[in-house]
Amino acid sequence: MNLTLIGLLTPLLGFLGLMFSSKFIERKWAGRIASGTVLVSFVCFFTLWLNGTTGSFTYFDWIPLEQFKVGFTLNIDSLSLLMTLIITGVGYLIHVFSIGYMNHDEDFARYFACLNFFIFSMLTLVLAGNLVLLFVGWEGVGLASYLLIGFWYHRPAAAKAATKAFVVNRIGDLGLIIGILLTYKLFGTGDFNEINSQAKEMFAVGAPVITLLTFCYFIGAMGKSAQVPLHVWLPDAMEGPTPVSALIHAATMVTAGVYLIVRLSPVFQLAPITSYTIAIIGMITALGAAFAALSQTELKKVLAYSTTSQLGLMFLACGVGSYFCAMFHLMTHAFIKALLFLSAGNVIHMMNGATSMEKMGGLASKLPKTNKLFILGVLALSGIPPFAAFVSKDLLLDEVAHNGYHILYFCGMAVSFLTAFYLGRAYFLTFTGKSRLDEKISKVIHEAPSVMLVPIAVLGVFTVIGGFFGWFGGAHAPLQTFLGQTFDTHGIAFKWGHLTMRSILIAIAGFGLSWFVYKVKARDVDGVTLLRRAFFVDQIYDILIVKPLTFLSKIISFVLEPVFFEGTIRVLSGVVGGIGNLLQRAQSGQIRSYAAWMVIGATLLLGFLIF
Amino acid sequence: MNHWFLLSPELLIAVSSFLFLYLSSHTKNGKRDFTLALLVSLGAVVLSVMTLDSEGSLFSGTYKINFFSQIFKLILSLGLFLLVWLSRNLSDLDERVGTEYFYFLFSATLGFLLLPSCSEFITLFVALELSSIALYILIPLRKGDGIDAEAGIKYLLMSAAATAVFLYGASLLYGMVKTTDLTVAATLLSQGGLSPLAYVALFLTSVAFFFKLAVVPFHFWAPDVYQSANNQVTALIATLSKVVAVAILLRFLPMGEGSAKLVFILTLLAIFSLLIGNLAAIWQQDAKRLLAYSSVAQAGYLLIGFVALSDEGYRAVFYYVSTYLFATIAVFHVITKLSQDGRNLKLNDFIGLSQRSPLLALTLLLSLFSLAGIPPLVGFAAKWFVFTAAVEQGHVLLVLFAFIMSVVSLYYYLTLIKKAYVDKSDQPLTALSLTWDEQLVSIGLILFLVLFGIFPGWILNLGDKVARAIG
Repeated sequence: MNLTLIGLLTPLLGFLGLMFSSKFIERKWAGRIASGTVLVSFVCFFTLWLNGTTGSFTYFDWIPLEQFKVGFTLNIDSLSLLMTLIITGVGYLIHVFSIGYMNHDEDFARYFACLNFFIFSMLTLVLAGNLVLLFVGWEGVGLASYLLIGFWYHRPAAAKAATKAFVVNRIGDLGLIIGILLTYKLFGTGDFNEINSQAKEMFAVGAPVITLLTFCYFIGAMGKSAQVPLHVWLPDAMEGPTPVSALIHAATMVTAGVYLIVRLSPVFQLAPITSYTIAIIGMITALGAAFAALSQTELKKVLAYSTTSQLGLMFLACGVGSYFCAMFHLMTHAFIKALLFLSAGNVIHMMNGATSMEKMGGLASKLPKTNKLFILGVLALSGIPPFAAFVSKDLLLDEVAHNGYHILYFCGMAVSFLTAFYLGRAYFLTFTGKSRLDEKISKVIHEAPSVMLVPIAVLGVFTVIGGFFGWFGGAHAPLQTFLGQTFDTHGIAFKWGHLTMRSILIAIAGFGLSWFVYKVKARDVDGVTLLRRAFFVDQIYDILIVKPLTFLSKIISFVLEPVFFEGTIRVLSGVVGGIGNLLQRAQSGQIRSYAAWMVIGATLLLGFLIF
Repeated sequence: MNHWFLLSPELLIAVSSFLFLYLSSHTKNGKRDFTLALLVSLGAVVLSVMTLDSEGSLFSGTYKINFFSQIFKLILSLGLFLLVWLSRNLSDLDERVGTEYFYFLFSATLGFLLLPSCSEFITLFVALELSSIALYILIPLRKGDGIDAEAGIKYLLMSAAATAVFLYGASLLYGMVKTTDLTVAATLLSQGGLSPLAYVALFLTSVAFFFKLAVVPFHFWAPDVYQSANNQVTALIATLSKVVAVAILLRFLPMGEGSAKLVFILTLLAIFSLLIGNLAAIWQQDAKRLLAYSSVAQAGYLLIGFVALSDEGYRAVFYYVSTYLFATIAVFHVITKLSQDGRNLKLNDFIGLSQRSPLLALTLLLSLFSLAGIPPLVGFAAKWFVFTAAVEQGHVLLVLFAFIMSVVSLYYYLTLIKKAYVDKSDQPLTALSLTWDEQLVSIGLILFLVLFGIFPGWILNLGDKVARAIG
């Protein structure tokens, strides 16, 4: 249990150390310290996993109120261990990659400090044994994402994107807060184990209050995991440095929503209406984001929408009650998306920060290793066997079909097809065809250094083998058995069948079509405006929410406030001040009057006592 | 355990105060006195910690050592240590009286240290007078125009009146129960319910301590004395004197548990203290006068904890007063540092503090926020506990009123903070550099205000033990 604490606190120490030494620390040490702390943390959790440690440990009473008891409780079970291993493992690789990526940035100490804080917050989130502590991590992640998305705060777009991410997340957070308060009202505790064990006994399936409760959680999850309609922050979050995008998208932040639902899955199982809504919302997100990804002109935005889309699939899995598939896909997606983002990071870094695919093309010869790694990620996420996402996505869609959601299954197939197509498009536009590079860049561009390539290669290994954890052994696949210790993972096992063949064919068709269009026909970067602007959701928000609010605030600040409120306040403060003035006149400085007041007061009080 | 060891914090302070008396008739050496006083007060802290868990009864049962008395001694000696540390630079005292200052400071503290242990009226009276007499001399000690002497006389007269009332109450009690022992008196009085006369006696004995707490209508001395006494003495009156008063009230008032009349009286006192303290503070231009009214208001919040007359209330009161002590010392730390020559500060003297010394400005900000009760600082937790204790006993309206008054109090606290952070000075600012120990104390106080606000459990558990030790 002390290992847990060490694992949790080392990144925090790294954060504090780097913050306080940011003025004088050397560049190479900042990177080493930051990655070192995450590595230590990874080793701790790895050891815990090897030892098979489980249980929840309360270190001290945090809020010792009777109706609102909150302990500083850390929960170690297979679910939180899997999450910590992903967070610290992938997080470590991203830290190492960052050493190379940030080698020209002046503010490296602040960068690594924030990165460490991000890992710490996310660990708090997944290790928390109760909702309140989870909320601490939840907000910490929100803060860290704000700091990192807006890392280049002197760029207006970055500052705006950071604010947007924060504000949109706050909407979700509000849902979660209400959910937490409601939980305390219903269960009298925020402890996950107690909630999960009591829920079934206390409430019937479909109880309205449970539906309400799960909806609140779901709103929280929507914010963090970028589900429609709270998805708008994620594409903008690309303004941050690319490793940050990798961290947000792969290992941390966005998985928090899925984690929350899986963590409270026994409660969600009691709420069929919520579950169905989750499935629908997940599907809408998956499909909508996949369409939006088709027309993006920036490499990172393609990947961003792809993340949203894959998260939609995970929510779909949660919605149909297959929490295991959600976690399995979360894991494989973490490897692949980190791989894709870091490879894209290589490209962008070597292009001096340019992200538009209009300026790329034919990079395969300039960046041969990155090219191989990127195509690996593309194939894997498209669902080409035997790579990781093939197994997890196929199992996920099988499960959807198996549970009788046929329409959703066919939508899922469409998402598969689109995924293969837009990833293929991004690959061919970036790495093949004729070069559209600026001449200046074209001359100096070269392969990334090994400090950036090795982490990607490691991720590549997991991209290849990641799917096997849930494949070999069928219903007794290692991951399924492992997670089965914590929550219900029953369901169908992966096996070859006509559904499998169908999804492979669809993936190949999608990838093949993109090959035909963008490689053979060599079409240029193109895009339907409707799709590129992601169905104008931002603009719709602007018209429906922002504009009316701005109008209202103008009315308030120019009409209501000065005339009505300020006037009232002025009268009120005048009265208060007047009384105060009167009272202080009693302080005449005359000792006779003081004594008189004292005697009068005491006598009156005595009078009350006697009569 | 050896009886003398039980008494060791008091003995150390007593011996050292005589040492200061001896030194005062010899060579004057401010630095020597300061170092000595600092070491002695540190020793008192250590001894209080060592005797924290001891129990005992001394001097034929007139003097009781238990957790209740020892935890208050620990708080008092910690406060003394910080006060001595504030007294490094006594520039507004005549150099002749520098050593005497420490003599009276220590003998006043000796009185304070004795009070929580006194379990009998005569001892209590002696200890009370010991501290008061030292204060009569400390208040007019400042060199200057004689206005301090006036304040000293005022305090003397008013305090004497309060003491007389105390004696009257004590004699009434003695007349009823024929004993001066407090515990025996409490059991005898509560047999068959309290008689009206018992209420009167209880109230009259409490008046002396309401006076020390500056509860309305016994507060008139506070603004004048705060303003006239030198900064360090004001800090003494604002902190240690209040802690002791609360300790004694924690012994007295529980005798009236379950009495609606006592609750009513306490409610009235609380309401008027809150009202007058908060409203009058708005108009003050002198920082210490403002703090005087703020302390009247704070006494009102403390009384709300007493109004509950429950273990939760006592626990909350303990938490309130022990954190209030440190928040107030933090304010005086800023004041003494800012007022190098020891003069009184006007609110305008705080202008530009955030640029002159960011750390000092932060200390001021957090301590005032704490006094105003803003989360996550200790002051918020303190108000929260006091309010919940009162609400649980059904005093919802009182708490609502206190809540509104705490909004009013924000005005004058924020005025001070606005001066320090926002207002622009028309004169060039000189940087205020803090020595390493000043930085250390600032950071320590800041950590105290923040950490124990977020994690109030530890002090609250002490409060639980205190509440149990009362009965």
